[in-house]
Amino acid sequence: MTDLAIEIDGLRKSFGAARALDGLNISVPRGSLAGFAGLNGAGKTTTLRILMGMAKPDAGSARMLGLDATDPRQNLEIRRRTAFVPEKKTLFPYMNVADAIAFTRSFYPKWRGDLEKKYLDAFELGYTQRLPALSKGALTKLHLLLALSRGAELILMDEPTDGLDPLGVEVFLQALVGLAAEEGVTVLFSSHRLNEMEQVVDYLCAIHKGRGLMNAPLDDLKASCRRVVMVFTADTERMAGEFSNIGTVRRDGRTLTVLANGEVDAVVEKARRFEARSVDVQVLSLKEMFLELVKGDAK
Amino acid sequence: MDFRLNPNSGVPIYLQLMDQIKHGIETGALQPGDQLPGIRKLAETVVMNPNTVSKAYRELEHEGYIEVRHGAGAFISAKFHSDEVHDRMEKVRPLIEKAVAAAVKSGLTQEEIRRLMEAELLKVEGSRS
Amino acid sequence: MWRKAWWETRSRVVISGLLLVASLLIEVFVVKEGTGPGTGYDWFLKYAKLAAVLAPLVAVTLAGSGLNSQTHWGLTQGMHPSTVFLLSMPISRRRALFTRAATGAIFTALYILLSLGLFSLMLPMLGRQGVEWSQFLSAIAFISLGSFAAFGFATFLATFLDEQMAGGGAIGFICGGLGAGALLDWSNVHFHPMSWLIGEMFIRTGKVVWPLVLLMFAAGAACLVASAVIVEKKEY
Repeated sequence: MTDLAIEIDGLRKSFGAARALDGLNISVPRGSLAGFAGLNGAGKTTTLRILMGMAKPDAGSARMLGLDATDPRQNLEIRRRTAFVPEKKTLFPYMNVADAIAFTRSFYPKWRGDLEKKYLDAFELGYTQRLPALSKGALTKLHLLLALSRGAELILMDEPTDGLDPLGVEVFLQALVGLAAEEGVTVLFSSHRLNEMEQVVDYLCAIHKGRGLMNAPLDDLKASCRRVVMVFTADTERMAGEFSNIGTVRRDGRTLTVLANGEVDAVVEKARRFEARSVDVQVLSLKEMFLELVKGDAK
Repeated sequence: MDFRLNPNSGVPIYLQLMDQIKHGIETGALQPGDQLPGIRKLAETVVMNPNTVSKAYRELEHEGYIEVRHGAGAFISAKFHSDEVHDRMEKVRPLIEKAVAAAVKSGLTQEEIRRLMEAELLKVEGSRS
Repeated sequence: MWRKAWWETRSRVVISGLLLVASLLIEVFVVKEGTGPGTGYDWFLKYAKLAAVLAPLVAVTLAGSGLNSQTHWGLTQGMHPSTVFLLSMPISRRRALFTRAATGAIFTALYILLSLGLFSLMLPMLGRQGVEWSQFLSAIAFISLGSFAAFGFATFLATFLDEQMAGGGAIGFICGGLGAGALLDWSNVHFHPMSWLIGEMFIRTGKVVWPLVLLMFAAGAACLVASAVIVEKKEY
């Protein structure tokens, strides 16, 4: 039994000329409610697909629940204990909700009938609704129902809030939180809604251009990450280089913005040495943190 | 009691929750003996991670504001007399205000001021033990 | 899983069921109005020829839907969401493919049995001679062989073509075979891709063109194996 529910090491994957994953390292501890952040095309879906055994990596390792996700037989065992919500939510057009549930249930002996009823109510779904007739939001909720009722140890979700209205997002987050309270269930979901993610996750993974960007408990990140905004009297072109080994730097004329992870004192110290006119240390929301890292990298 | 938490403000959520519970105690909205909602219940109501609620409760218990009775739940501790604390805070507030104003004026950043204060508190703790 | 496979092929089964009824009705009509003697067997053979063409078509239809009803394994739409969902289930790809193929095969077999069986039963009712068991069984065997080959081929095509194209491709192949057969028939060559002639030749001459039988069986099997391998290696 390993402490890590997900363990990715040096994962590489290219589709022809396009490099989707370029040496990704990510780990998610068991029992955490983890968020998976990244821009479109950063490699989130590819990562999830490899974990679920739908694609094979070119290099590197991926382990889930202590098993090798790249080995077909072990991956089958993984899938017995894992639930997956895919990015594109359309399902069998000839079925209705009851059929879809019965179909999924047939694969999972540990199916939770109580959760099925609970979510059917909470998500306002009906057994006789035909799948093609469901709205995007309702379809997403069905996926969530199918994933959450499986009695799975690990739940992976690719953009589960896509298409949900604010109330739907709230109901979804509540379901997640209720699940998080249960021992032993690990959840990883990717989303663009960083504000909502920040509300409920206790662990954060972020990917950028196929590589890991953040991978730590959210509390740690929020405690150690600070944005230091420094205004100098002269242009900051030469000075930017001084800070780039401590953190992510953004330059805007006489203003330098550095995102420092735990090295705030060093940054402030340097700012004083370069006679900054003003130094402002700011706490950050998750969204601000992510955007700083991504924008800084672009430069 | 309603809790208003802002997960994006940069202030750790568990601290926000702790502050609001303490505030509730000070204003009298939460009386000694009142029961706080269970961890899971509160997490679901406010839609936040149960670990965060758990952390807040642990810290509050550590600081003596609440008692966690095994199997029964979390209760506001009888030890704190809200009026007394309120009075004490009102007395000390102007002193703190003056000190902070002076520190800011001297050019120190918020972070630096905070560190100064923490250092002082640590000194006090050190001399006690 | 079985239930799902049934569901997918439902519409196709209905169509083939209709085909079955239609073909029976046509033949019945023809027999009734037909003049001349001719044994029951001749009529049976005539019908068998019709069935032999239809059965592979049915097989192809079911193969197409069995694997491809939502272009599951086709490359052009390789990432169909239903496929992704199915693959996330704890079922090996081989098993998923097998269940579908088996359903298609079962229905094709049912079609063959029912169409030939019902017709044989109707013959005496229409005042013709019945058909002997051996003739009946041999017809079934050879039509099944042809259908098997067609099914395998359609399955194989379906792994890398769109649904419509795979069906069309297989049907085109069959028609090509028919056309070639017609040509060869003319020139009286004892080589025919279509199985019913093998059956007929057997009855008439007592000889079975074994190499051809083995070839068709092998081709069909090879196609299915290839499909299984392709599906297992596929990435999403």
